[in-house]
Amino acid sequence: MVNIIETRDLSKTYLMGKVEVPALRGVNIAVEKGEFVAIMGSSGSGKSTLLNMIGMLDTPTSGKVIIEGVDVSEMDENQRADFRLNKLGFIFQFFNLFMELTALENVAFPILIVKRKDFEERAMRLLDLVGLSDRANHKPAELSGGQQQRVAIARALANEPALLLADEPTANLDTKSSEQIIEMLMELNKSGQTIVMVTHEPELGKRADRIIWLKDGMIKNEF
Amino acid sequence: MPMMNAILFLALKDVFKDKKTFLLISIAVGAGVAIMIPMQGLFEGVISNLYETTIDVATGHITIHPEEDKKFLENIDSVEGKLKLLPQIKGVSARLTDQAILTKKEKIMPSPLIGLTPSDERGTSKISERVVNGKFLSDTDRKEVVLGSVLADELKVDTGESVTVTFSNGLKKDYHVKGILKTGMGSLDSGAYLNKKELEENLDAKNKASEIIVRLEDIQLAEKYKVLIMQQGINGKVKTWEEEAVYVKRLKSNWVFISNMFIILSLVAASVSVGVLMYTRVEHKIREIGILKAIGARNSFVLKVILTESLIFGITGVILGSLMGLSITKYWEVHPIMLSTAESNVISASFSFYLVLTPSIIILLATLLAGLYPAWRASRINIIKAIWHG
Repeated sequence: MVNIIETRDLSKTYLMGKVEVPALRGVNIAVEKGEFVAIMGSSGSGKSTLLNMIGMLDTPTSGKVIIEGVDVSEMDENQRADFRLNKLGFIFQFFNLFMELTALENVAFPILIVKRKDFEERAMRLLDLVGLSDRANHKPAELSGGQQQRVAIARALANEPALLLADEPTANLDTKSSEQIIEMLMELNKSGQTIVMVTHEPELGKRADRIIWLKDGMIKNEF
Repeated sequence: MPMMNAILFLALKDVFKDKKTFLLISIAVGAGVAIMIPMQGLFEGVISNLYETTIDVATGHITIHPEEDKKFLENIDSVEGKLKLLPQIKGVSARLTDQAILTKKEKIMPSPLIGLTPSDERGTSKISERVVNGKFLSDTDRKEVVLGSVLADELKVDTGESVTVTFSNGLKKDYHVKGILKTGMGSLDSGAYLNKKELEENLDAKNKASEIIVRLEDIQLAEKYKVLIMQQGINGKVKTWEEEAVYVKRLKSNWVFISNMFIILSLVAASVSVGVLMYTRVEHKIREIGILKAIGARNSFVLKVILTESLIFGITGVILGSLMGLSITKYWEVHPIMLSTAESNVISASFSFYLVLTPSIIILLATLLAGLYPAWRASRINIIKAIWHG
């Protein structure tokens, strides 16, 4: 199987005033195409930092991140932005939808940036996929938390990303909504979507193909 | 959902999400335009009025003066005859001037004395229409004088009374004050007016003039007719109304300077207010900007969204401000501002749709400039910090 993600000796150190805080220390992981991987660990273990590195939201202090065979750690800002737009899809803990746009507009927006003419049809199909086509013209404030997260999933799929990155996608949801979301992610994975999810909930972690456990910025375990 | 540029789409959505705020901001931006337009209109109106008054009562469209070494223009009958034959000439009036002293009881006032032919003057200038008390001269008047309002005030004389005129050659005569006029021009309102024939006799200056004023059918022909008149072989200095009214030109350039200063100040004020506005808007949208960058928008995309929002406020402000400004200007055109109770002491605005041009360009520039720093700042926002902001 082909590795879609590889990190090689990945490290990230933050400077808090004069104090250096190592968030990641020489992390080496590999994620195969079509895998569903959960990154877990206690608070401060570096799991979100690792996701941010893979998602190119931040740059490593040292080491490499290779996505689909491309070393993305040396890319400039514009290249990273373009890569995120076309290759990655993000699902955040707090949904992070644009409040002034409707559900349809939120999903269509990344497609509009790449100037695809079928942006509206594609967005409707994605909303249909997440079961929200009847709420297309509602703004996020008119949707429940679970519905907002489903819109966020649809948006993350907008440009057919190679990789879906989810940072604590169910942390702000009730049990029922959480279950709906994880089911949705598993369905997507079944259809071939590669997913990397950060979670602190063991019950969610168990649903993934593999768990990478971090502690103090290093891999403690993989199972 | 129509296909449109993603930048414009997001900018429009963001700007219009709160319609009340949008309207308030646009009005604030438009206020600058709304002030500048009537200011410009008043300025144009004042200058236009000044030129009109100058042409109407003092210079006509073309003025002919004697050469440097001569006191008078000679053979006026012949000169007037030549001029009146030219097409597009509406009126020709020869004026003879002298420095006199006017006396009324103990009051003594030096004053310019202007001799004119009333019938010629009526076809050439509007000075006869500026009588505020009594009547203007007629062609047969020889014992009558018309005084400028300033002179009449100084002498404390009214119509129906008499004054003594001492001419520059020492000749003294009494005249009956037939009328008092007010032109709004100090030099003319300080003068006294006699029938030209009377003054010619008193000064032994028959068929002579100190100046000839010419009125054309169309003011635009002034330059052309200056050349034409010079080609008639008339011995004299020929000037157009613009060359003659140097003081108005000077006033205009002073006004232009003041106007430019005002425009610069308006630009600075508009830039500062829009700049503060956009800075505050960016501060309130940090999380949104983080999301935008996280999903793959480039820094330049973010910059363009903020600048586009700035421009939208500018355009709406210009439209609202133009409507307000043009309405005020039109009102001041129809209802001039009275500086005093005197009829000639009014300022009226000059209305034109072109008044919108300069203020609009300035405000649009100001909004763009003002949006630059907030836009640049927004584009540099750290994604992770932004997403977790607030």
